[in-house]
Amino acid sequence: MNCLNRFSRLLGVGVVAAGLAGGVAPSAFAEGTDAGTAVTNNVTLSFDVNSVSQTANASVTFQVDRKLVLDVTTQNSDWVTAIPGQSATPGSVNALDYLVTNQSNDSVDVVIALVDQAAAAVTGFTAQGASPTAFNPTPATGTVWNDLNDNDAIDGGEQSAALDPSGVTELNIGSLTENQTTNIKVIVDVAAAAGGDEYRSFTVVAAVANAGTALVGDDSGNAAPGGSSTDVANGLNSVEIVFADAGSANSEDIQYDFVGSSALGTPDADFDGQSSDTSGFISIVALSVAKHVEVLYDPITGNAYDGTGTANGANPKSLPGAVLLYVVGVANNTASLSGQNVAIDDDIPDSAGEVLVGDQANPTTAVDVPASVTFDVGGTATTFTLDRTNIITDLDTIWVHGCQAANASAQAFGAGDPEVDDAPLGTCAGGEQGYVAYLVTINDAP
Amino acid sequence: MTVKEIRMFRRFVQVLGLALLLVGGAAHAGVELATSVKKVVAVLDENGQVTRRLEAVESVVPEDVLLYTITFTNAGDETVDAGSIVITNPLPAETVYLEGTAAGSGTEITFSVDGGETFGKPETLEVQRDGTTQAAQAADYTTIRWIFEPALDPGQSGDVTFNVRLK
Repeated sequence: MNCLNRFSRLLGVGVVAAGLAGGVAPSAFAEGTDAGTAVTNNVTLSFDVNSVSQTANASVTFQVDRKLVLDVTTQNSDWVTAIPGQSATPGSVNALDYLVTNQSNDSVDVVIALVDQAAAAVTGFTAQGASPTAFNPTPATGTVWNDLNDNDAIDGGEQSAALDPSGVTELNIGSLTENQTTNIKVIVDVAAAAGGDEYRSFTVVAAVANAGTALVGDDSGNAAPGGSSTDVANGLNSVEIVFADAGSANSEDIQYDFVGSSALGTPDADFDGQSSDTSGFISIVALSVAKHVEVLYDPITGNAYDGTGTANGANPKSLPGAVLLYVVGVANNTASLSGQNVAIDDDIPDSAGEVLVGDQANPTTAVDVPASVTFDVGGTATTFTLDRTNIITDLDTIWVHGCQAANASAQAFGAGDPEVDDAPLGTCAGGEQGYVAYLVTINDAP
Repeated sequence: MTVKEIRMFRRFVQVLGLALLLVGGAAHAGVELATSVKKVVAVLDENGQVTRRLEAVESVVPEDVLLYTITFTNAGDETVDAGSIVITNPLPAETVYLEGTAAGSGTEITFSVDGGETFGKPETLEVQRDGTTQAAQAADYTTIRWIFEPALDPGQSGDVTFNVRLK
């Protein structure tokens, strides 16, 4: 008998295993049993009376209710940079990014509110200095949209809204299926006169809704902000709504009253039908950089400049042995922000040329550089007046002209040095430019 | 076969449903069976202690813990034979049995991992997992069975319980 039991047990296990391999799908409900599913418990009882066997059966059934859970989590790990003077154009400026996830056991409509929190701190982001300020314009202007395909553009079918001057902007993003996610993006204008390290924080509050209207309460005694509980006495076989969201421990992740359309000072709570998270912008200086090159000399044509920095009409070519001028220009096109400790690194392509170093034969005693060069830096035509001191005799020099006019300096390449390494431009204040200039020769070795 | 083995085999046959063939001729004897379900709610009291209370099943959502109670009552006028009451409860779909929660005074409790084909104590149950034979976990159980050892006199009742978590 024991052998029989063991055999039948193993046989049974084999049948179950075969059933699974044959395509019995595992639970398809990552967020739990679907709302509305009927769960039935069937019990069988057998007994003997005077050795006569009988049976009885019983069952109980209930329906699984709607467990509504939204989650909002910013995808930004720190402050998102914004440039003074930027215009809120999708794809061309940095955006705040919030991921909204439907963790319910059913599809649910979702409405969101974007709350402008000025210069509020954001937990987990780099600490602000004392008395942080919000950059202008105030109220903030820009756009919030439901970036369904997460491509940073506002495509057809993606709900969007201009930021409301009231400081709160509501957006109905329609229905999310179980486990569906969508990205909420926010971009803003920044006043050209904005200072550095100024902030603009935004909280996205997502709420469960019905046909675009936020639910004010569930059927289990939980109320949404501005709403009231509608605790429903209920039988087993109906589907109720239960808020099951988690709150936030961060004070900046606030609640929003969708009934009265007002932001609340209270943090996101458990079971309030909402979820919220906060991210923000920081204004920073943006330096533009561009590189200019021209041929000063070739062994056949001679020089392009006459020894006083004036063009002589000749057009030397990029022949082996030719001498080229590189100018790396840096410009701070913001109104008032300063960039500190600006430095330039520049790899020189060794296949195309080599730095003229002191021990290399000077191809000419008359290589000259222009008095100035003009090229586009960050969208602005910028003129750099070159320091021509000792230009002819010190062809291995790197001229470093700091953004502050007074700190022009020079440094030499080392023998065979392939790069400009950490050339210091110092502080670049708003409206200032600096440059690094150097000469190379096109390798004429066989 | 010993007498005990014979009795075990007879119960096995009953579980398969063949016992239906034996029903009849007991007009004055009957055991009524009922099952109910409650939600188990954990609450923090003022001392910070977690206590659990039972609530009516008004709102049941995934991850909720449920208590099923099966009550059996001898509604007849004859005593039910000792050791003959066998309660077989396949676990409801979309639920997972919670280990150690099956209870019932005066009962021997066994479990099945093969849909009720065979039953055994937890430490004897095995399943095939990742190509190897492994000890069964509570989540593997498909069916619970209670065998009520005493005789059940007319008017007497008993109950058994178990907990599950809704997936």
